[in-house]
Amino acid sequence: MVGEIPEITGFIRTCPPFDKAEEEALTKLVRHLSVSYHKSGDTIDLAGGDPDFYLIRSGSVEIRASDNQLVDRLSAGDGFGHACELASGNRHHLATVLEDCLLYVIPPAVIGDLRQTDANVDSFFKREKLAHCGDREVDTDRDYQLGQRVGDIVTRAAVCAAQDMSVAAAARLMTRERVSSVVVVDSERLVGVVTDRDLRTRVLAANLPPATQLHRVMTPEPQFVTSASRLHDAQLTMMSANIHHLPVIEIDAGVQRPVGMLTTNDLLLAQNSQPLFLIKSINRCRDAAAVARVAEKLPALIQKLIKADARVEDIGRIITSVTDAMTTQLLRLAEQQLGQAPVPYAWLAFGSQGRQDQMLGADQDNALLIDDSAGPGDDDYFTELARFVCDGLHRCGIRYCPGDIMATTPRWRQSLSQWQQYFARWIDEPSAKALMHACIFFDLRHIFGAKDLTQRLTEFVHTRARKNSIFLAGMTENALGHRPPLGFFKTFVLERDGNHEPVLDLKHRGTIPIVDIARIYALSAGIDAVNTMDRLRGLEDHNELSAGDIHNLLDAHEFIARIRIENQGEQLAQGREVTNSLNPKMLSPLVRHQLKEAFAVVQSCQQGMKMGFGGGAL
Amino acid sequence: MAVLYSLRHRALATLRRYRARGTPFEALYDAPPPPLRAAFDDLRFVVLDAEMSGLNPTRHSLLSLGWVVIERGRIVGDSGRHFLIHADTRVGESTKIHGLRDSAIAGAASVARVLALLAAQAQGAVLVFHHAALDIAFIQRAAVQTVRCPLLAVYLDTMEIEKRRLRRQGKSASLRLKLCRDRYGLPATAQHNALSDAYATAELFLAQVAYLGDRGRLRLRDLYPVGVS
Repeated sequence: MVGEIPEITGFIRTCPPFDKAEEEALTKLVRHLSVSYHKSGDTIDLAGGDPDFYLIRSGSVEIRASDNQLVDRLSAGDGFGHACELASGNRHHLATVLEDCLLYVIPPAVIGDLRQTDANVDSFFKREKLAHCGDREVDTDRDYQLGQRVGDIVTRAAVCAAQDMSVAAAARLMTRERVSSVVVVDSERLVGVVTDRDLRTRVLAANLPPATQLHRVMTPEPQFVTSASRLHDAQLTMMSANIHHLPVIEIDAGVQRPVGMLTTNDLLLAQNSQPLFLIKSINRCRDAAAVARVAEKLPALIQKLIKADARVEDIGRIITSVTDAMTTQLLRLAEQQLGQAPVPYAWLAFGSQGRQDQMLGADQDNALLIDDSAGPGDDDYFTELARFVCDGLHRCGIRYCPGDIMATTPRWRQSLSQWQQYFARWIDEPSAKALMHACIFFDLRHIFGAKDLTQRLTEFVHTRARKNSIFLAGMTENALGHRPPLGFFKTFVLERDGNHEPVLDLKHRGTIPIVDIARIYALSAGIDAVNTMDRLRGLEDHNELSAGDIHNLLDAHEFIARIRIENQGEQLAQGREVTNSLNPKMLSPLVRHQLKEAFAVVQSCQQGMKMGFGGGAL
Repeated sequence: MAVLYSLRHRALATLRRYRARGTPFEALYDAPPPPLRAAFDDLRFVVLDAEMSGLNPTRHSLLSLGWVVIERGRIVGDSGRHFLIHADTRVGESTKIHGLRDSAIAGAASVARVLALLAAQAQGAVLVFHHAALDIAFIQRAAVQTVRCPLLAVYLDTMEIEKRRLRRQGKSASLRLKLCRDRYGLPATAQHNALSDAYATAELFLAQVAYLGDRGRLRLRDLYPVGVS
């Protein structure tokens, strides 16, 4: 004959801070506790004077503060309500049940007593107060993504199969449609789901004939979401049921009609779409100042991506796509302000933006390509346009180019025929200066405006450069100027940075040599890709570079870039200036060793390039 | 007819009350059962589970009884009770034969004592079972044997509530306690004894109530009371 219910005591004993509470305190807690059940969608008002403390036994809830800001999402083992005050002075205001909840309700007085007698419990509630403050920003971010409607991210229509279809036919249908699951319907009504795994476990492994009808192997009455539900609801459903496919339905005159299939992959993509949101909000900006405000969010996003171990190649592409969006939006705004351009033009990006491997702290490299029909009076318009955009980009944190390679420089704001002459001269008479320009301008990419102008220029350049051995030899020689920082005995060759600290320059000594190698081979092979990784992958179909070298270079590029960007992430986190310099002492011995190996790869490829294209002494 | 029925009903009720005089059930028989129009939130529920030595009430006996109480729509945290019962229902003889020693060692109570405690709890309350028919049959048999009159109470069956819900949805599915709980997303329970199962039933009952509609307007009659016994 006991008063305690073992299920309740057993659970509370696992939940901090009660897990460390005295037996006596726990008994008191259980004596005053009650258990309630709440359906998804129910709300619990926490605004009243002294709300109860709620411990979640099962299910999940969402907590909002009085300003309706999302504070937290909580699940089994978490508590809310009484004493869960936020650092801002805001209290838990409203709890909305996301997933049916079993709650242990503890009166405020009992928690108060416990805090008096148990220092551990007391400090827990104090800490709770602080923790919620830090979480806030992150959570609203997540809220933004998971707050989307299911219907918005499920793009393809449901692949449906009648319930009397044979499993063989369903397998063929799934292969044809390239999906991993089908929705089983009975005259448009959702009756089940069959996944790849079902075909394996319930058909093949169970030795059923191919003519078996779907309704015998399907999961009947599957869980589903409506297209109007929020993504987090869908996520919770999938997590709690441990399923990877969730049919999306629309209820039409009482009939559950499937309209799509939501997979865990869709959810993952939706959550990784922060760059997309950034770009979307850039596209909504009404003036340059607004663009600059959105751009401020980029470093934080990059830090998050670095922490999430995203591939550096992807990070580079993301930064570039954001820069592209800023450039495009600034051009649109400029056109709104200045009126339509008098003649067609194209906005070009060079250097890292051109190669789509921009890192943080990159500066501007851009130019204007204007139709040959432009008259002498038209330059005023383009001067204004260039100034608007370059100033705007500078305000977005993409600094003016120290070498003035920008559309604001008259030399780089020219007609198509003038640009063709430039390239012709660089290719035919490769002086040192010309080669330096070639390195920058050969990584050219169209950003905005008349695409055919850009196309005509790149075609011209590629036909001219390809098989021009003198030019390629010159480029090679120029490229050999950037040597990997390895001494004779495989020691790092260090440079002095601004503070006379010995550092490795990861950009000029690491990334750029690989970029150069890729560019020269790509020019020679006539590959028109601009991104370094794309160029290297494109070379796999040519005989210019061995497959082994290509893979080594790809790995070395990713590895060096990874160290570079992690270093930048750290600099950013510490509030220091973002540079490409790294003190090798900061690296672990293993990473130091790997970095040396990566540099050695670059060194040997440079030698191979010298053999292939000639050039200066190595 | 209605008048006759009413008279007969009253006469029987008086007779029953008379019989219950001096037994532990006396107060139970004097207090009127909660009316069908009583609001859910005002009702007190005693959720019960019994363990038996078999399925036949005439041959097998109650081994243990556990219950928890629901008040104002919530399970009361310290209302859990768990009693092991003497294997022998003929309590008088059992004490004579076994003495108190065995039962004290086993921590078991006599069925009469457990029923008396239950009667005190059940006063003005509604009993709740999962699969009421079986448990009720054992309890009433024990009550008649030891107290000489049945336990008088309105009772509900979570299995019945579930059966009706499924029927309304045009489904048929297992009515076992665990599977019913799974459908409401209730957590798995580790132990299985009368108290654990009573508590598990109580959680299920709260979940079912949540799905029966607006709790504030829910009345006893909406919960398919099985009857007064």
